[in-house]
Amino acid sequence: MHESTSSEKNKQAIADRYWHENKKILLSLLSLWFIVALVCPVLLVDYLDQFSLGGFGLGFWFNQQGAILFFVAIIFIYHGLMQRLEARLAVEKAADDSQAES
Amino acid sequence: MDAQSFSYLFVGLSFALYIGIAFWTRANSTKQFYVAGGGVHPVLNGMATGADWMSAASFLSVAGIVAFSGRDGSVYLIGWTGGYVLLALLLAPYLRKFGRYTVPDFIGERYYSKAARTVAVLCLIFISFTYIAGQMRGVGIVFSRFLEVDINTGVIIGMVIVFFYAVMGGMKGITYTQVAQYCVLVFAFMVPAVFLSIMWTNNPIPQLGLGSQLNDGSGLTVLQKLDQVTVDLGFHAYTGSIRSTLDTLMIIVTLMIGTAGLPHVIVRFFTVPKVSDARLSAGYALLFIAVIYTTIPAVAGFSRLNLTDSVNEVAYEDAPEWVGKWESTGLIAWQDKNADGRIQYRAGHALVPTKPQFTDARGQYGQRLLENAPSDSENEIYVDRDIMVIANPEIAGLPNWVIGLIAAGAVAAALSTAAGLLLVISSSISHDLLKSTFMPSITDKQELLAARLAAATAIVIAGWFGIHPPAFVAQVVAFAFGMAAASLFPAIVLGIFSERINKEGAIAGMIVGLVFSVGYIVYFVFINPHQNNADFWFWGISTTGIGGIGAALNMITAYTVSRFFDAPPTGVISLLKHIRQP
Repeated sequence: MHESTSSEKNKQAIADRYWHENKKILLSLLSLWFIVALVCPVLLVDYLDQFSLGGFGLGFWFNQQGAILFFVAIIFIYHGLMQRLEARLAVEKAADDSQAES
Repeated sequence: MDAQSFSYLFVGLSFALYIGIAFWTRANSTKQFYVAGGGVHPVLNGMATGADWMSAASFLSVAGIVAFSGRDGSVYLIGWTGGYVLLALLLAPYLRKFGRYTVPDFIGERYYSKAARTVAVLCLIFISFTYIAGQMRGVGIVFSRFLEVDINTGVIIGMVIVFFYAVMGGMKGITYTQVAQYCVLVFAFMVPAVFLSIMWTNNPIPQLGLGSQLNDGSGLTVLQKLDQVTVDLGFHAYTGSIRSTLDTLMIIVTLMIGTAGLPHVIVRFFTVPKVSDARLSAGYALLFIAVIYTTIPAVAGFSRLNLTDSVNEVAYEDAPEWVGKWESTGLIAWQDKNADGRIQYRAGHALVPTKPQFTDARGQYGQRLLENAPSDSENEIYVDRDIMVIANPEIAGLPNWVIGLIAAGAVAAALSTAAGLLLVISSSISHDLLKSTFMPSITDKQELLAARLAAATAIVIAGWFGIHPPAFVAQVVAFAFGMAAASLFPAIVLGIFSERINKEGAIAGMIVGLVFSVGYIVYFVFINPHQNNADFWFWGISTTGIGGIGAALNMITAYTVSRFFDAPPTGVISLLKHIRQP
């Protein structure tokens, strides 16, 4: 009886950790998104244009191609990070379950 | 074989393919009809989402907008793609975990209120019909241009095809048809782009070609040449901007959150098997979209060079054949203001009013004469922006089969978006209004029948709009994005990430966001169109960019009002706990 409530508690703690870590990942990726969507291609476009990338001014490149490529990367990075987080917490949960059983 | 036979052949073949898929993927239950049974592979769903979301406007018009406005046109590229990041990070995984069929489903459950669900249904229907009217018209226009049939006949052919696979197959039929449509449209878009890039730079990859050196021995890069040509002719530099920074920011923000709030895009993520697939699928969707969206600037740049090269200071009689061909369809018009028989291409509108109104007569060089008054500008030529994609194969001297390919691609783009929109309209009526609100006792079979009837009715209404387009179709696109941004997106995001927002807050927020954005657009587009410029706009923000402000007002209102009413019941809190776990 005592064991099962502590296991319930642990499950809840793992769920809370998952949500907390998810929010941390979201916050950092959304900051990156903000930079590549608005800062580089719009706010800093003229400054960045003095650098050159493959024949493009860097600001103009962000504006017409770079932002889009970063967006694709951000989503795949998010998918990867969440897969890793879920795998890690699944291991902890399994360890917790086996402890509760023994 | 001539271009028209190729167009008939390719469009015909693609139709046969779509109908074949429709037979093969008939829906037998509401779950299959609404969300394709929830078993679509993430890569396939990514392709379907790409086709669903890339409309006739994406396929035909965006390259034209970028070609004529250079860097200022990029707001559409960034705005429409950046929304997928919001979708993948803030909406798709949680809505997939929620595991129901529609967007109003979520709003109704999360805000424990039939009123909230009904407000969401109304927003959804308005957004979708605004959008779909343009799509059906697009189908008609594509038919009339490539197959030389009457626009209305084109609309009706489009209606029949969509009817087949949307009504029979539901989401299941639509999904697999959209996968095929994505393949058709990406191929149709890339082939001419590769040809153009080789033609100007010898580089077969258009994305790199745009940054490369021209192969004409001038030593200039493509972009240097574009800047030089545009400035010489009196335009602003191609890589420069004339729009205010704040307005640019707000337009991008509005298009991003509007894209993330479009119901026909959101609902695609209900069709994959797991939560992690929803994230992955959004990534694939954007990857497939990015293939085309990073090519668009290249097509835009090359076709701007092509256009300038082949018409400016060229005698009308020596102008390439396509000038006369597209003049006969009204997409090009020429007024010889200085009577030298040569076409001058300069900055500014050539005509007053700006759209050409042809008389039946021909001028001394064989050009179509116009009723329009000449403008103050030295510019003599009117060019419709859609021509940049449609006329590309001819301008670049590409083989006839490429023209047929573009016809099939444009039809695919328009049909896939129309079908996706029809599905969310029909499911919001049969599922949200009938099953969940007014007639909860109907069986699954009856609901499925209702969904089919609703889809059929919606097709007829959409077709009617296509044949009798409201005069303001072009302007109301701002509506769809402004509304999606100001109403649905904030309500869903707050509903997932805040436990405190209650039904009073959410409903008040949606109404404030909507009334503000719609009011702003209606005021400037319909009531006071002569004031629709930066001098009168609130902080210089255009009607296209106002949805972002509407979304902010929505969120502030929702937070404030929620403080004054009870917190959501415990059932909603456990629902939140449930959707926040993988």
